[in-house]
Amino acid sequence: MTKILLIEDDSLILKTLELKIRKEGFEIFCSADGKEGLEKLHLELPDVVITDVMLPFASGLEIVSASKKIKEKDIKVIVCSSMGQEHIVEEAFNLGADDYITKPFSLNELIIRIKKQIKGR
Amino acid sequence: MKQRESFFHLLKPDHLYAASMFFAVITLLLVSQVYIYLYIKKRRFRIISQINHQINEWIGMIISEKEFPVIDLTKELKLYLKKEKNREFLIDNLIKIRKNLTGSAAQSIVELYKNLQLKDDSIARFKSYAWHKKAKGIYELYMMDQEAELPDIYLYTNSKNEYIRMEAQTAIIGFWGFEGLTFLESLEEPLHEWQQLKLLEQLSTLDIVPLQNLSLWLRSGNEYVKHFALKLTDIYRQLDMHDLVADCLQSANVKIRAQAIKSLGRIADDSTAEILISHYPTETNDNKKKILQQLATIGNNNITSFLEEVLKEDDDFLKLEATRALVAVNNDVKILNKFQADKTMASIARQIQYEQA
Repeated sequence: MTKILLIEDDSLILKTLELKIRKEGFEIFCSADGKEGLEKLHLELPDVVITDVMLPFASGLEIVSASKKIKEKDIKVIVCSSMGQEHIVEEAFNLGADDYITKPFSLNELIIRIKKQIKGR
Repeated sequence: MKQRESFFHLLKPDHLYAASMFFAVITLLLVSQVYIYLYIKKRRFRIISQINHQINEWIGMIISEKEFPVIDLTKELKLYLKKEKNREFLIDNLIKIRKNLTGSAAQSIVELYKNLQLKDDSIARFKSYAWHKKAKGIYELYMMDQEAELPDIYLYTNSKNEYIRMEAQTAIIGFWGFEGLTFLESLEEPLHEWQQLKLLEQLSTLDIVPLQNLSLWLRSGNEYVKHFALKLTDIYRQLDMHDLVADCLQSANVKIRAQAIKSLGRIADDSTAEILISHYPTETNDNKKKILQQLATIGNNNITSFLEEVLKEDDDFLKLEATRALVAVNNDVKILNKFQADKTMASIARQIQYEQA
């Protein structure tokens, strides 16, 4: 089963995305902060990481960088940003991010992007 | 010595014992009260976070469904929703997620808001006399797409209270887009810079439609409206407004003149450079700099003599801008060679050459 790691500090958004992704048949792991996200990243070795750019304790950029440093697996990273954070997204792409999605986004669009990343692996 | 004796005569061991007992009891009471207070607070916090967690899970479940499900409220939820504070918390959470999601999920959020009759709370807040509640009520109605309330909200676009006014204007633009700008015609209150930025950001996501009343706004008696209209002219390149924008150079307000100079640069025609040059002597140094910057982009070598005149001014920053404009309109940095004899000009020329390199 495809493993997804979702890192988002807003509990309500995290819960909504978690339920939606689970309904699509993926195995999902959630973290509400960057530090825990990094721990789960190394522990679970997910296929796709979805991370917010602004996170407590460790930023989304650190998550991107850490995901790309893992040699055991080709981990795809989707960055979630808000409007006006284009410069951070650019930095995330420089670090190896595979895709990005801007808030507000539709849940279906996120699922399409996840599936696209899985197909491209 | 006698005095000391009489003092210790008063301080009997019984008294000391009684006093220390009294303070010990007081301290014990205080500590236990603090402990009980903290315990209750912690317990309440735990219960609230547990309920909030359940509520979040419940909202998430509804939103993540493909179609809006039939809402069946449990006994606990019904009890929870009886409290106004809880309903307000729920609305805040719905708004938070509404800001982050679009599509069917966003529709489900609005549907949930309607189903739980949370609109009544927003309406009550909107009708409140307290300004902060009214502003929040407008915000909630706008975020939850309650378009039916728009005529009532519109009345507050000219409210005396800045926050109510801002929320009402944001709501109107949010629903009607560019057409919503009609509130500018009746606006008598200020439209501060921050609100102007907010409205422009809101408009930036929409497709432009003809700004039919722009000429009215440019002639408005409200200087804030005029300033905002000049920004619209600039951003949306309203070329046919050129003459009205040029008229704004006569304004007594330095900010309006500054924006008019900038806007003219963006919608320039053959007459613009001449207009700016003839206006130049009457301006402040800051606005003179702005004129020179615009001339650098819209001028041609016909204005070389004017720029060379500016080089005789005392202000070094004006000289620098004029030199930049001189190089730009002649498209040749070598034009600066003839100023090498003047020490200040030589150093300005070096800076320009460095910028060009």
